[in-house]
Amino acid sequence: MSSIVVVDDDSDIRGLLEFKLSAAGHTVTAEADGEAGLAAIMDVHPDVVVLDWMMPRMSGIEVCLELRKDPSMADIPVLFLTAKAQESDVQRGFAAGGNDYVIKPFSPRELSSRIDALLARTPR
Amino acid sequence: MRDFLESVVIGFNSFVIIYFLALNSLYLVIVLIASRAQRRAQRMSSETALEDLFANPLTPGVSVLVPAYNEEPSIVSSVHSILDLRYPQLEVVIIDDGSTDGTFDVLQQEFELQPSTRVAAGVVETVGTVNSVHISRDGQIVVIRKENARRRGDALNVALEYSRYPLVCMIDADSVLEKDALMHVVRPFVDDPERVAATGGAIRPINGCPTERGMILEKRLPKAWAPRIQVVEYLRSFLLGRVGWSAFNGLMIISGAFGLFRRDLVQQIGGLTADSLAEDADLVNSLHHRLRHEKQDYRIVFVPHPVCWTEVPENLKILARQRRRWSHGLLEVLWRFRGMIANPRYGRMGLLVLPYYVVFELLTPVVEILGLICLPLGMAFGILNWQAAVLYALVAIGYGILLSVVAIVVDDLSYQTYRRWKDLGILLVAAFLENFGFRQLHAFWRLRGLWSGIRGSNAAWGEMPRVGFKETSGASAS
Amino acid sequence: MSTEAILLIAATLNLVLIIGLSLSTALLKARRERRAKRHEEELALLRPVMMRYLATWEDGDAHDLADMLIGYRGVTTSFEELVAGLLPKLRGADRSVLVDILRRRGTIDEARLNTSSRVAVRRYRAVELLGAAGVSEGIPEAAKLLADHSTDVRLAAVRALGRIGTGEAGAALLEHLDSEEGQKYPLPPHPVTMALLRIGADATQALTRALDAEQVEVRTIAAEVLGVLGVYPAVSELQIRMRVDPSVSVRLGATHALGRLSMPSSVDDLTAMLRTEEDVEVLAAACNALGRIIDPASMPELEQAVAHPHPTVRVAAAMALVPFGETGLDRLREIAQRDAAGGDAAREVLARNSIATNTTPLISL
Repeated sequence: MSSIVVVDDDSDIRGLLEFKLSAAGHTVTAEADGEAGLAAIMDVHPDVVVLDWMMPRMSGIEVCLELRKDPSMADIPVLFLTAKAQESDVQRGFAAGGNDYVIKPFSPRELSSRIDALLARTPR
Repeated sequence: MRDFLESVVIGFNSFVIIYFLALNSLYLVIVLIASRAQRRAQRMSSETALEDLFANPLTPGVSVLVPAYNEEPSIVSSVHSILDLRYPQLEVVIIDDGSTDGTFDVLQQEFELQPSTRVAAGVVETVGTVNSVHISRDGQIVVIRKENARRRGDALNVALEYSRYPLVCMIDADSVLEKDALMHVVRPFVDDPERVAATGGAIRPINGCPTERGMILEKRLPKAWAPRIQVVEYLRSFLLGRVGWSAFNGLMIISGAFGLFRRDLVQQIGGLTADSLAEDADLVNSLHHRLRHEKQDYRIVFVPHPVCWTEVPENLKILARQRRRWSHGLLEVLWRFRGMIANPRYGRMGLLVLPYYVVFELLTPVVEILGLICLPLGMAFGILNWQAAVLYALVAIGYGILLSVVAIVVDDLSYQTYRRWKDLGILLVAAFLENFGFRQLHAFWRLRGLWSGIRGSNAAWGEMPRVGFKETSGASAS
Repeated sequence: MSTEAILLIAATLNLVLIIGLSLSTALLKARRERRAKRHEEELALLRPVMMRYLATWEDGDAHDLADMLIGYRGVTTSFEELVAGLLPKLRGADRSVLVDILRRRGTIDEARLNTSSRVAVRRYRAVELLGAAGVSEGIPEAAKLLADHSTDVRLAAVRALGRIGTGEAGAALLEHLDSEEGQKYPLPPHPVTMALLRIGADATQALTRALDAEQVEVRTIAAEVLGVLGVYPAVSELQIRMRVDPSVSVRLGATHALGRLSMPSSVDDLTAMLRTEEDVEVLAAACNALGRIIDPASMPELEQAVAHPHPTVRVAAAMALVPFGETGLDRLREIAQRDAAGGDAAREVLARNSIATNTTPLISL
């Protein structure tokens, strides 16, 4: 069992992922904006973070950059889940320290597999 | 003598009443057209259209032009809020218009700006010398440092020279935009690319709304009555008034706080008038003038969606200065385009919109103030009995309140911007209060603006070279 | 009647209207809030069921949840709204499951019927729903609405066809544009390109055919979309369009597309364009395309273009030299020494390049 933090300002997506990932046996913490998300990540020290990009207060990119600055959290895998679909956006996502990038609209099943893959790769 | 005076006073009072009756009735018609257009837009609003706009790699890029003069405290969060907008391809071009504070330093530090030798496009003339150009690592932010030329128009022209996307968005450095603001104003351009020349967004006062990093956290009404009254004013004239004119393709003003233009057209008219006091209205009229002149089928569209929030003056002194400037600016613009007024060649603009602005915007303060003087005068000389005087006042004021109430009602029906019951109450009270004191003061300020316009104009208009001015005067002479 | 009587009547009328309007707004607001509250309550019950169903339908024992959803009847009809909100956010099997529930509730059939409604708003909503659900049985209805007299409905039909997908939808769209009806009820290119991009590979055939369409707009759209979709077999067709099409917008679209496809076989045609083309935009696009292909044979032509009289072309040509690496940069440094004839553009591009060495230069569309 792993813990996952989901940060997305869309309540539908938060709800969906909470149900989906809990059904897969993970503990899920969901937050609606970048600042609260960062606080939750610092608090929980999750195994994976699912981050939206465009959010109030703090963008996903900024949250990711903050995480990478902190040595204790620099290794937490980050998966971007965002509507930003241009090639340059994906590049920026990875450049900011993202480990995976999923474009909305997305398939929850696929996302779940990607999270499993990230979990399998990170030593715990 | 007395008889003569009596007939003058009564005659004038009747004139004032008829004037306000006509003004308000016309306005009511505009507002009703607006509420229909708005309701339709509301019922056919489409998230899918915005989604497609966002996902399409062929969506035109937007250059956001931000003139900044001494904006050190807020400029960084403004730029962040622009970068955070939901839009696929945009650049931010900031003109540091000879700031004397640390505007540039905070920008340079936050965005790691590097000096660049970017080439000016050479398409419009500019006045203030450009000292240096700086860009961010990813090229998304461009900062141009220039000498101050005392007017916003020149700063925007310089920005135009150094920006590259086909659509240009002009905003104030302190405008706070909603996340989808650009999408809403770009949509008319892609849905009707042949005709749409410019779009403007609805502006609302931000006073009282808690914000963070250039984003509104909650929509609330201001705490003081002066800005509250301005909220009602903005709803009435900057929202419904403009929706109405836009439905009629007679939009004369797109607020400088948030407007989007086709770059090629702005270039064709030689950019903005560098020394104008109301460069926003001036630009829109230049476009109307040019496109009507060339007999093109075009649209200048107002987007009623609440997209841009801006700080309004709470201090009466600053408010007075702002309104004087607006009034002066309006006079300037109408004077520059006087050749279009009542000229059938310019269609609705010439026959209806501009005459409306002359009679019912420019001259309103004159009539209002004269009416205010005549009432007590008539009573003092015993020409009017107090019942009649009160009735005159009641009708004039009642009509004013009615208009505001209609605007509040339409906004509540379509957008429900302010959710609390208390807010609805406050707005209705503000609509009432506006007519006792504020309205009269406002008329006075506008009158003073008009006066300074008339006095200053003769000296100024002779010597300043104006792009496209010749054409206008030529048209008026014919 | 005396003036005073008229004034009295006017004042009273004002007062009555002000009070009446204020009161009716208050009443409407109260009703709206009651409904909103009810709506929230219903949603609070419905949402978890829906989410749980989406999270567990794969396990095969979620039939009761499905039946609950199919039989659900809310007073404030929040079901369709909830689904309509979810559909655009999802892809794949989870999405199909939702659509299946809509179909079994009869929502899809109802929407198909409503596309013939006399009320524009109804037609609009119906075709939006067919698009959101992406059901191929909606293609004929959506295609019919391409010639609706309301612009909003027509645009919604375009978006719906894009979301439904399949080559059939793409063909319907392109054929409509090139037909007489399409001239009478024109569709703006931007939403059409997005619809075709959404359809993707399935639209390839129809798009290639459309390169020979009668209407300029159709040829332009086809060229642009073929480029974005990366349809390599269309390269030679696009080269012909770029060389011979009388319309600037088609030539521009074809040049963009050839740049996106970046095939070495386009170099000769592109350099020929630099010599013969007059339109600034097309010239800049040709430079851009050569910068993507990076064939040393095109360098001399690009160097010449750096001295073009128009700044847009100068900068585009200078930027196109950057991807050639050190050789290209050396050429730029040399040109930068000059006072006139492209020195400004070369200096600008060099400066920009030194700032952004580890990021891609911005490519303008």
